[in-house]
Amino acid sequence: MKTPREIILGRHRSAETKLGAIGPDKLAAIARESAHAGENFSTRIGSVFDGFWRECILPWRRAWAGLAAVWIAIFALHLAARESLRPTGGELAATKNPQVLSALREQKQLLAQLLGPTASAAAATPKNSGPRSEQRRELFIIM
Amino acid sequence: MKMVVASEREQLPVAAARAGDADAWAALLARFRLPLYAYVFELVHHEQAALDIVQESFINAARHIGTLRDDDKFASWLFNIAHQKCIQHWRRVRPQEIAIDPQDEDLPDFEPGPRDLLIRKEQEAEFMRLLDQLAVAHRAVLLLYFVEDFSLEEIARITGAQLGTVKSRLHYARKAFKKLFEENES
Repeated sequence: MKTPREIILGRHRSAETKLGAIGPDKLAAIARESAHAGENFSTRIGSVFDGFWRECILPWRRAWAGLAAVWIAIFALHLAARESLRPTGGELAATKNPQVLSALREQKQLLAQLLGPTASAAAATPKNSGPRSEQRRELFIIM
Repeated sequence: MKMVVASEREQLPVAAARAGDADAWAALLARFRLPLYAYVFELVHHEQAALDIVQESFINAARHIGTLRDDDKFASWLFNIAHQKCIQHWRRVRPQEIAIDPQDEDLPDFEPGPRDLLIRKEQEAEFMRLLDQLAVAHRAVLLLYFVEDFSLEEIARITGAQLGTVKSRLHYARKAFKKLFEENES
């Protein structure tokens, strides 16, 4: 009496000599090689970063620190300028006040009267969109 | 001689093999070479193809052993590599074989049976004939169960099938064997 395993393996015992062609030394060499390849990849990345740090950052660390400080200062100034340009709460309330708006309108009218009709007409007339040669002729006649 | 099977959780020198130790690889070869060949041959039914697949499986295992997280799973991992190579072989040679997958349905849990089977000498040829008659998917499951005594979960992992499917396939295979032995008894 035999187990199924014994029967199945027994059927293939004759192939054992052919299977002997697979060498443990070869497999061990492959395993070693792939282990080194894996290590090499991680160490290569590490060494590139290390080299960059040692050659480019460390010798010039004061210069890099100064440059970084300058950039931080520029950024801070930029932020501060943005804050100061933004209208304050009082200014916003004033523009919404109807009295202030009417005073502004009056000032605008007064300015238009002082400048006279020519200035206002010149300002009102749209720019000539015709050909340039015609524009020249008109100028000539006026002179 | 006592047969060593995976379920006994023997201590395999996987860590040493990962470090590239030739003795460890010799031990792994001695342990798995023949069972792996038997499994592959019973699936592909071609001597040279089976030899090539076994060799390629070991080479792949040596190349990727660094990626194996759990050393206890070496056996199922190695058989999975070989199983994938068998599928590649079928795709090249007999693409229709892969499609052979009899209906799987929800079945009660697989009861132990074929594993404890003891076969008389006059039944051996009939046993192998019946094994050959099974569909590839059923044969693969049964071989893994017989040859290495893998658990249902391990068989599912090796063959890439669902656990329920593995149970179902074992159920059908067991039924087929039961029928054979009942016929022989009568």
